[in-house]
Amino acid sequence: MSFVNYHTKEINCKIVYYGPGLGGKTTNIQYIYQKTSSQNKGQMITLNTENERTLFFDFLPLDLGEIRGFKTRFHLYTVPGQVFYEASRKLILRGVDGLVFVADSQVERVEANLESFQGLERNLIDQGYDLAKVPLVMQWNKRDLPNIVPVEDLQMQLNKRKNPSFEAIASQGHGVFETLKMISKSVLLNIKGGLE
Amino acid sequence: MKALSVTEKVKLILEPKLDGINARLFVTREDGITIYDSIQNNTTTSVAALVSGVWQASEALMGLVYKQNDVMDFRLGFDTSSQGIFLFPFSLSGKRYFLGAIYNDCLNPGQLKRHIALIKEEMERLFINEPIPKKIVISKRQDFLFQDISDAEIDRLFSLGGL
Repeated sequence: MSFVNYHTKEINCKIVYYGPGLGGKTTNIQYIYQKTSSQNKGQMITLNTENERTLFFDFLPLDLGEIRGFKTRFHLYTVPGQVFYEASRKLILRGVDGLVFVADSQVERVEANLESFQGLERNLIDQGYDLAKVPLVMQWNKRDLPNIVPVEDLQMQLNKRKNPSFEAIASQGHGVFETLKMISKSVLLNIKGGLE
Repeated sequence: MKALSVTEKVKLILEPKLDGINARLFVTREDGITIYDSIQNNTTTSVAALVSGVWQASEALMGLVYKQNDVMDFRLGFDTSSQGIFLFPFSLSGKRYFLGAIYNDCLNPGQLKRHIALIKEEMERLFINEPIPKKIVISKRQDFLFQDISDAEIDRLFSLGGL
């Protein structure tokens, strides 16, 4: 989707937070929302179920400032993590410029992480994307919990392409902005010039 | 003469027609980018994202039950007798956009809808001969907008955002 308006010198990019249910995707976005000054963020949209699980998507527009004369606007989306919302996940991936895969570090979520990552690959192919060409940052979330998988194992299971990765405790903000900065940089570097 | 951007073209048509329309009028790209909004505030970007989401979900839902040939014939409505939302898709330079209106306390929503439909038709008619931009195949690093970006520049960008 990245939309570069050369007349107004604006860049719009779409970043999607993907991962298994209850992995912390919404928590990442909420933390970013809380820490951003009001003049730099739009209204956060959450489409939730009654028990506060993401039903369709969360959306947070971020107007950061200028980079080399271009005003940058990042559109952050999360997908619903629960298995049966596959159709919604597919839709939200349309026009994606960059992905953050939020993995749950707990031992009992290994299968869910793998299933979600395979779903991501499948859904991207369905939308005509090649995962190897879409900027991707891996986040190993919930590092504060007792029963967690070592980072080396997570890397081996989920990060065969050796994309940038960060440990995180999203509920406390650890690793949230490191992840966002890395994906933002990768996305900006991936924007094609000469098109409107 | 300098070519007009899509945003400028849309503005040119919409702005003179806003008088007498008691509704928030907007044009968005199908991927949720705002092209025009008659009320610019901190909900502008979110309106566009939701418009895109709601259209894509409806299109997928329809396609799930019946095979669709041309979704450009569709329009989307969510309304009561006095308030609501409606969306019309239209094509401009080979790309799909939505013209939408959100209204409240409207005495004659049917008339408003007709008015917006006519604006949509005018946009399509005026820009029907617009050339479709050629796709450019990007193969070299110098064809990207930024050759390189340092970590310091990213840090500065985020600090400007108050982060």
